[in-house]
Amino acid sequence: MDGATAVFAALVFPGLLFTFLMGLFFEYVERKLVARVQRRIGPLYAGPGGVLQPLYDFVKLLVKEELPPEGVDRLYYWLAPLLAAAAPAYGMAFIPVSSFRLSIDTPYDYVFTLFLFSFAVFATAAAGYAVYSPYTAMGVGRLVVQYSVYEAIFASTLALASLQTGATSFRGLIEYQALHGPLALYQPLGLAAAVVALLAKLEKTPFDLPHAKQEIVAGWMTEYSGRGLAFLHIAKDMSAVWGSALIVAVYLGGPLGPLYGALGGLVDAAWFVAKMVAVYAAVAFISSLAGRVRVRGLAEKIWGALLPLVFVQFLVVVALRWLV
Amino acid sequence: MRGALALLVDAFKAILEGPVTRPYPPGPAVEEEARGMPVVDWEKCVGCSLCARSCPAGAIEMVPAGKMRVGKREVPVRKPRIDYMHCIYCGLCAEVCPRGAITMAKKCLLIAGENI
Amino acid sequence: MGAGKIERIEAEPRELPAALSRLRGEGYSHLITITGLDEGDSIGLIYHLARPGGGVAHLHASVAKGGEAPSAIGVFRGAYIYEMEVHDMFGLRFSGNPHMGRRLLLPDCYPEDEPPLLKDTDPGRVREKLFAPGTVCLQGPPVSGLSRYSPESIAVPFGPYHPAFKEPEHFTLIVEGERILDAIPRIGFVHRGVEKAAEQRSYLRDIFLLERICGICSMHHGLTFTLAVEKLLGLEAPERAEYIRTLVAELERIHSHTLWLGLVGYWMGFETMFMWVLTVRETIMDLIELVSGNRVHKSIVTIGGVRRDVEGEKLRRVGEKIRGFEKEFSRLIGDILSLDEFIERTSGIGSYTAEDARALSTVGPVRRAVGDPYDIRKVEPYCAYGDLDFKVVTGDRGDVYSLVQVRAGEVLESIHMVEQIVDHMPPGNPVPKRPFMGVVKPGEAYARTEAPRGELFHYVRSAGKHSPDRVKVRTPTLANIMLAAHALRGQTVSDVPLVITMIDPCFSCMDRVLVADAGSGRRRILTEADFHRMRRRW
Repeated sequence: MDGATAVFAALVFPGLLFTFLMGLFFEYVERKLVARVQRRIGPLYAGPGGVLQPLYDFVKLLVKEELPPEGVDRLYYWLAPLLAAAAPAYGMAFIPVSSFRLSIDTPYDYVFTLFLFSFAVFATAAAGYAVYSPYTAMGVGRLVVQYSVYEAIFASTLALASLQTGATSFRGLIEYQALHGPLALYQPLGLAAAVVALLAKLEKTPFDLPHAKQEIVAGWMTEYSGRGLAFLHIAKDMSAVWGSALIVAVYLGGPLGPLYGALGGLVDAAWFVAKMVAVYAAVAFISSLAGRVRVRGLAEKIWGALLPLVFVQFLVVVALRWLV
Repeated sequence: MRGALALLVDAFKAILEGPVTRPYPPGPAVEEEARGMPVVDWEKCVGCSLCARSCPAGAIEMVPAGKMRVGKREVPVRKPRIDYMHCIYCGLCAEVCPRGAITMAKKCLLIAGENI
Repeated sequence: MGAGKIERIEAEPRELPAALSRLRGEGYSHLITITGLDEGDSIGLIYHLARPGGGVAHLHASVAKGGEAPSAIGVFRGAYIYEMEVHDMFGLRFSGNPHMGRRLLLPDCYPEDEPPLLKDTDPGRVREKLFAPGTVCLQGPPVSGLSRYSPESIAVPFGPYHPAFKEPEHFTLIVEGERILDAIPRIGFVHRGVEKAAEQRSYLRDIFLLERICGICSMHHGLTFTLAVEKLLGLEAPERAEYIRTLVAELERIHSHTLWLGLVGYWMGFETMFMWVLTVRETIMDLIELVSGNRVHKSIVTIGGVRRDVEGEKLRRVGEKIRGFEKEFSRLIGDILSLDEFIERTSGIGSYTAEDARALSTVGPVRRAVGDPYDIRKVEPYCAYGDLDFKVVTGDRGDVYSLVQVRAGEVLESIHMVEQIVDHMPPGNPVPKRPFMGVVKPGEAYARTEAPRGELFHYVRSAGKHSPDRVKVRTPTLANIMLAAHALRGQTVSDVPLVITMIDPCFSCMDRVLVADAGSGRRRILTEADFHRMRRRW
């Protein structure tokens, strides 16, 4: 892989540009789906069926007035939204979206993902700490608590995948799945746990504590407006893309599908995108049917329900390795 | 568990049955039973100003409207003009009018658009 | 019943606490409110006391203007909020009440020497003082003295503008991490001068004015005022009119309770539940429009009857639609109430005891959720409630969950009442020949009804003119708000929206009086063209 390809991967496909556009589309899918569950119409006027509404909102926020409160830490206040948006875009550059290898391909990229995960959270935590207001303080506190709770689950499910396949890179994961079928067949419990952890990572109900509007207005992003808010919003959508892409690559065979590699990279990429949208639609659907959990019950709820699942899955994986 | 299943059923039903909200612009703006908005007919009005005095919102102003013959004399007369931005559309003016000069028309004033 | 002329029990100001505790001993254990009156050179105080089983006593005392009266908080714990109200409005001080130093309803910058409800207070003068240079009306949270709670505590402002509130109100929450150590309410952000304005309008116009105290229980305000005025006039509405009033009142209760049930979902972050419940509620809104001609302000009550008859065909449609609503509503609420997550979020949250509820003089579903069947419709039946068969729904635990159960149960009872009204509507003409525009002979009367949020109390005094001499409104939220603040202590921030709103607060009803508007003589009239111009500019 030469430098030019790596730059292309990071900036265009499957990195920044692709993630940005997919993020807008994901937001549209979520808004439309949730609206239908709630018996509403949802976005309608911007573009065919309202598909351009998220882009319209993004551009509108970009040109809005910015009102940074007094006494903010200017460096962090402006840097945090950019970092928050950069982390998922960079993370996407490693995901094997198609059969032709456009993504950055290194032997340990899978493990590197874990680092990027925590990096993204600390970027948002910095956004909150740049401002001193009661809502941001509580929002960041909740964010960090929630991160420490779901990260354990997410990391251990990813580790289980690595344990079964023996791979430390996405290439290894896809090759294993090409031979043995999607990992979801062997690790359904791990998949379930990962989806719940993804809900928490994306701050969707029932885990939207860090920005629970009925309680702490907008949590850690209360004091953002204009460009900063636009970037935080798009960072959230891009994280959704990245998170679903991870689940697809690890559990659902990535770009694998009938006629993989035979019809060219675009068809494989379409397979990947279709799976991603399906995963995200499921996440949005679950999220629309839940109320928010209380802060007090968070660790109990996530760990109490998911750690046993992960543990059973661990036993299954060990048994599989021993048998095969 | 029963509740979660029922919820799923409700959600699928909601998706299948389609939205209950209607896209803008809506159909007929006024339901058949709605009270409607007051409209003054100056021809029938005798300028008694009972409507202006009883209007709860003070939305009716008596404005000069030429002269009227009373017996042999010509007297200046004032007739009501309704300020629809102050009106609360209660219909009391139509109720108190002794000549039926104010009627409640089945239409409404839309603030958010001209051509509907 | 439910309304009557007032027979005063006289007392000397200094004997007030003794007289109150004597009445309390006679069974009058519920303090409805304290009405202040401008009696020329003295201020009259009327303590309205009720027996839980029915019957109201009115204790009257006259205090010199600018003087002091002994506080009643020793007898009735909840009295302090009413004393603060009288203090705000009439400038009277109550010795022994620790809250005399601060405002309840008026802004902090309001001039001390111009109590708004005194007859000789000139709105123009108040306006001048309020807008004088140097008057600062900003209010901050009481951040000083936080260290008395704990070193880690911070003050979180909750409101006046907050996504959880439909209306502006402020709570200062002292929190330590997620736990709430104290909650300090500050009300009065939506004063509109209704009581003062009512003194300047005719009785007929007052009905419409008072309806606008609240957009949800609007009909009950008009109804309660009308009942009091009808007592003063010695007038009885035709039976059919009483039935139609009851019909609209019950439809209003259903729509108010369903709105609250939907909002419970919103407050716990379950927005789909909110949308679903509101979808079901739309049927009731259509019915209200069918019966009264309007969705929000029904304006159907008038002195001596109602303004619109509900004829056979309409009545049949009401009966038909309400049965459809019952089916959908019970299915949806059944599904939601069996949800584990819902029970977990509401059960045991914001719990309070029956003693708290009684001592703070709470009313309505909040009182019934602890098993106290205090319901004006049963205790002192008014309109057609005496003829209807219904039971008072009570809960047993006093938390958000039992409030949900009580309100859902009341919706079902109301549906049955509507069905009975449809089936047994008496014949006759309910619409008076012409609207009442006369003079009311001197006297004073009260009326109380069971509004969706609880007991609503109106006091009307006439001096023999076209407009009333004094109108006093006590809304249920004012009686319940102290319980919400009380129940907040010890909860977590996650539960704040649910606990504050479990009383189904209607902050706009609670705050009514602002003088700056009343009779300022100058107002800017916006025409439709202005609106269009402004819209384009934005």
